[in-house]
Amino acid sequence: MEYSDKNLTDLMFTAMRFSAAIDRKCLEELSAAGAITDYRDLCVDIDKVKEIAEQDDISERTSERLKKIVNEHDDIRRRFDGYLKIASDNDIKIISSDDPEYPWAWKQLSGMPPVFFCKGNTDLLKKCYTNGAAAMVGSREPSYYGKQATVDYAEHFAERDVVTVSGMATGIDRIAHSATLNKGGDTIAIVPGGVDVIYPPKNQDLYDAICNRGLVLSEMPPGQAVLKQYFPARNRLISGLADITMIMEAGQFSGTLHTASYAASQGKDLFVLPHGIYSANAIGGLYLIRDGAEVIIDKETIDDRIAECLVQRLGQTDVPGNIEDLRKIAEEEPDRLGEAEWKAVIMDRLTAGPKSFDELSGLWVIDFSKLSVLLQELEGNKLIGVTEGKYSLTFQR
Amino acid sequence: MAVRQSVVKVYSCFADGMAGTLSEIEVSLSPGIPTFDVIGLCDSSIRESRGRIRAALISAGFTMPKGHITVSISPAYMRKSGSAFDLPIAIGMLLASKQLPAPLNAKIYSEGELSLKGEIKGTPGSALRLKAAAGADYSMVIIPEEERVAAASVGLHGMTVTHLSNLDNIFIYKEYVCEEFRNEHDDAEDVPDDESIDIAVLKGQEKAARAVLLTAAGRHNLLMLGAPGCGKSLAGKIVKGLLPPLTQDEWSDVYSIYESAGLFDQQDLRSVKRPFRCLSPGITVSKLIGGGKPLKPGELALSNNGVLFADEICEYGNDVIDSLRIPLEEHSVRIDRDGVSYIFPASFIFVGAGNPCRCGMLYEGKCKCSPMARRRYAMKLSGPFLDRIDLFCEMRNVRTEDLEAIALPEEMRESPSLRSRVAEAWEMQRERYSGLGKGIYNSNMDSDSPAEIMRADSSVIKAAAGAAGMSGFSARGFLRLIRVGRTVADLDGRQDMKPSDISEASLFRDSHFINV
Repeated sequence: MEYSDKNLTDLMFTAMRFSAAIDRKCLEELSAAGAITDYRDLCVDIDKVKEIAEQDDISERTSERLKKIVNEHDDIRRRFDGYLKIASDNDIKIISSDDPEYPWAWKQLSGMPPVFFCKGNTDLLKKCYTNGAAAMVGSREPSYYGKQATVDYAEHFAERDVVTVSGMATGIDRIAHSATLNKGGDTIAIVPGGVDVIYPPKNQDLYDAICNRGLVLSEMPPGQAVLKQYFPARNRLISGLADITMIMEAGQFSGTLHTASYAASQGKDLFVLPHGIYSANAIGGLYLIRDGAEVIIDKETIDDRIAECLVQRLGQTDVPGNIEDLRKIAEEEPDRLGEAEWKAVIMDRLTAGPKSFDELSGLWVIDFSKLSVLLQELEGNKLIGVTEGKYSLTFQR
Repeated sequence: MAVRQSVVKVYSCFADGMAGTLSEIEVSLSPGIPTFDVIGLCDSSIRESRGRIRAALISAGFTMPKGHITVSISPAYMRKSGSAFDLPIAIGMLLASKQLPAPLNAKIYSEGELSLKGEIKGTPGSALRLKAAAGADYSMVIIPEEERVAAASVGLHGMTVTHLSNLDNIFIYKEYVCEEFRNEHDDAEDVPDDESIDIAVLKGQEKAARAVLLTAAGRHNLLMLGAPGCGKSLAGKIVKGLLPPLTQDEWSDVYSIYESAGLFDQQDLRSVKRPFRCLSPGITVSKLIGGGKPLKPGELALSNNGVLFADEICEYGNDVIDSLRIPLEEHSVRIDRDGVSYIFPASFIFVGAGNPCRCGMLYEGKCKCSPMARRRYAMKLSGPFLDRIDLFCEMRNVRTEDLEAIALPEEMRESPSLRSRVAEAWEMQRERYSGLGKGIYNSNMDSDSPAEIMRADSSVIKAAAGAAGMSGFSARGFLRLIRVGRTVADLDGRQDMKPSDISEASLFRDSHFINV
C-alpha cells in the first residue's frame, strides 16, 4: 500500500491525537485564535507548535496538551511508525475530510472524525449517498424473532441496493452484515478498535467477507485494541453514516440505546422493531417507541423514508453546476451530460407537472434505452412514480 | 364350389382436426345380387359416393361391375367424412373387376372427389392428408391435379390426374410417371403487403413505436390502451408489416390449415402469407377456438405463425377473454369432442387494443369517468389474462409538441429496414433455442434455467428481481421481464444481456392496471 504525503500527515495527526489527547475542543480553540488554519499545521513543524503553546490567548488545557506534543515527540514518532507498518501490511486506506470518498452524511454533522481508516470497497461510501443507507443494530443475544426480522430487512435492503451499516458485533450486527452479503448486497461495518482488529475474534469469517465485498471502517488508528469506552463513540458513526437507524432488539440498559440517542440528536429517523412486553431483552426498544421512535411495521414505510432522504439530498446538491446551464446543455449538446446531470434535468422538468415517456423523450435528443434506464432508476429510488401513464415527482419540493 | 371373390386394397387418408389418418380401402367383388355397400363408420358424404362413382365410371367409358360390392374403409372404429374417398374406391372397383390390370405388388395411394362426368377434383384438407401420406412408402400416388400445390408443400411425389379416363394411361399403357412437385412458393417473391402500415405513423410516440417493434422482434403479446381515434387500431397492422416472410416450415403449416379451412384459392399462392386475423367484440368462443362439423379451425388456430389482433378488447365477453388464456400460455388450442382431443397449433403474436377507461380519455388527462367506473372498466380484463401479456403500452393522440420533436434516429424511420432487424433477431432466437425445439422464440421460451439460456448474468437477474419487486409482479412477471429484456438485446444484436435491457423492459409493465 502506497501512501501520499497527505495520508502520512493525517496518520501523524492521529498519533498526536492519541498521545497528547488533542481533541476537537482544542482544535476549535486553536483555529478560533487564528493559530492554525488546519489540523495538519500541528503536524508539520514542531517549533511552530512550541510557539503556539506559548501564546497568551491559548487556554491552560490546550497549552498543556501542545507542550506534551513537543515533549513526547519521540513517543509520537514511534506510534506513527507502528501505525504505518500495520496500515501498509493490511492494505488499510486513510481517508480524510477533504477526500472525495469522505461520507457526505458525516460532513453534515459536527463531531465526526477528520480522519478515518478503512479496508475494502470505498465506493460504498459514495453509494450510501446515492442509494441510501440503513443502520441495523441490536442485542448481542437476540431472540429468534429479532433474528428473523433482521434477516428479512437486510435481504430487502440488499435487493433494493440500499447499503446496510452495523458494528460487526455478535448477534444482530453479525446477522445484518451476513444476510446482506448473502443476498449480494453492500454492507459497511464500523468497528470500535483498529480496522485490523477483529472483535469479537470469532467473527473472523465475517470480517474476511466484509473486507472482500463490503467495507470495514474505524476512526481508531490501525492496531488499536478494543476498549469498552470506545463503543459509544463508534455508535455515533454508525447512526451518522446511515439515513435511518433501525433498532432490532435492545434491552433496558443496552449499548444499542446509545446508537438510538445519537441518531435522535443527529436528526436521523429512528425505527424500532416492536417486541412483546414480556421479552426483557427488548424492553429498551419499547421505551424508545413510547418516547416517540417510529415502529417497524412494513417495508414500504422504510423504503419511503430512505427515498425521502434521497430526494432531499439528490434534489438539492447533486447537480454539478447550475440547473439553468444543464437545461441548456441538455437541449444543445445532450451528449455532454452524465447520468446524474440527466436525472437532475428530468426531475427539473417534472416539477412543472406530470409528463409521459413520449413527452419527455420529445424534449431532448436522447436514446430510448438511455431514457428508460434513467427513468427506471429514478423510479427505483422512489424519486418519481407513474400514474395514469405519466411520470411525476413523488415528493414535491 | 369355389368362390370367385376378388379383393383389392387401395390406400387413402382422411383428415380429422389437424391430423391426417392413413386408411386402407378394401373393395370386395363377389358374385350375387348386385349390391354396393360402403362400411366403416362413414358419414353420408362417403355413402353418397356410390352414386357419384356409378355415374363417373359410366361417363369415363367403364362399366359398373355386376355383383356384390362391399367397400370397407379402415380404421373401422374412427368416424370419417369427406368425398376424397371417391377416387380410391373407384380404382379399387376397376382393379377388382379386372377392367384395369392390377400392377404387381403395388401399394397405391389415391384420393379425390369424382363428378358425375368423371372429372377428378380436389377437396379441402388435402395438405393435411398428403402430409400423412408423405410419411409412408407408396409405389404409386394418384392425386387430383388441383392438389399439386398441397403435395408440393409437404414434399409428396406422384402423379396428378384430371379425369377418370386418365387411369387407362396409368394402368393399361403403364404410363405412370412419378413427378417431383416443385414448390412454387420458393420462387414467389416477397411482395410487400399493401395492408400493413408503416411504423413511421407512430412518429412522436416513441414508446408505442418501441413497443410495437419489440412485439414483432420477440413474438411477444402486446396490449395497447389509448383514447378513441389515437391510432391504436393501427398497431396490429404495423406489427404485421414488421414481420419477416414465412419460412418453408411456417409456409407449409399456414398452407395446410388455411387449405383445410377452405379459406383461399388453391391456385393463388400469393394469398398464402403470414396470417393476420382481426377479432371484433362480437366474437363468440366457438368462433375463436374452432368447432362445427366437420371440425373447422377457429381464429386462434388460423393465427398460427401470424398476428391475432383483438380490437376493443375491453368490450369482449368474459368467456372470450378467459378462453384466450390457455392458448396464450400453451401456444395451442385444444378442443375435446366425442371423446377425442383435437389439438391445433396456435403460436401467434397477440395484439390487443382498447380504451383505458369508459370515456377513453384517461391518458389525455380529460377523463370524465368516476374512479369507481374507471376501476370497473379496468377490471374487465382479468388478472390471469393480463399476466400473460408481455408488453403494455399507452397511446396518446399526437399533439403539436410531439410533432415538433422527432428523436428517432434516421434509420429507425421505416418499417422495411426494421423488418430486416426483426428477421435478424428471430434468427438469433432460433439459433439460441434450437436445442429446445422448433418455433421457440423469446415469448414462448420455457426452460428450467432461463437465465442461462438467455445469457442473463447475475447483475441482470438482480435488476429484474428489483424491478419485479418494485411493482409487485408474480413469478411469471419476473420471467416476462427477462424475456422482453432478451428481445431488447436481440434487437441490438448482442449475445449477452445487460441490466439496462431490464430497465427498458420494465417500462412496458402494466402500471395502469396496477394503479387502479
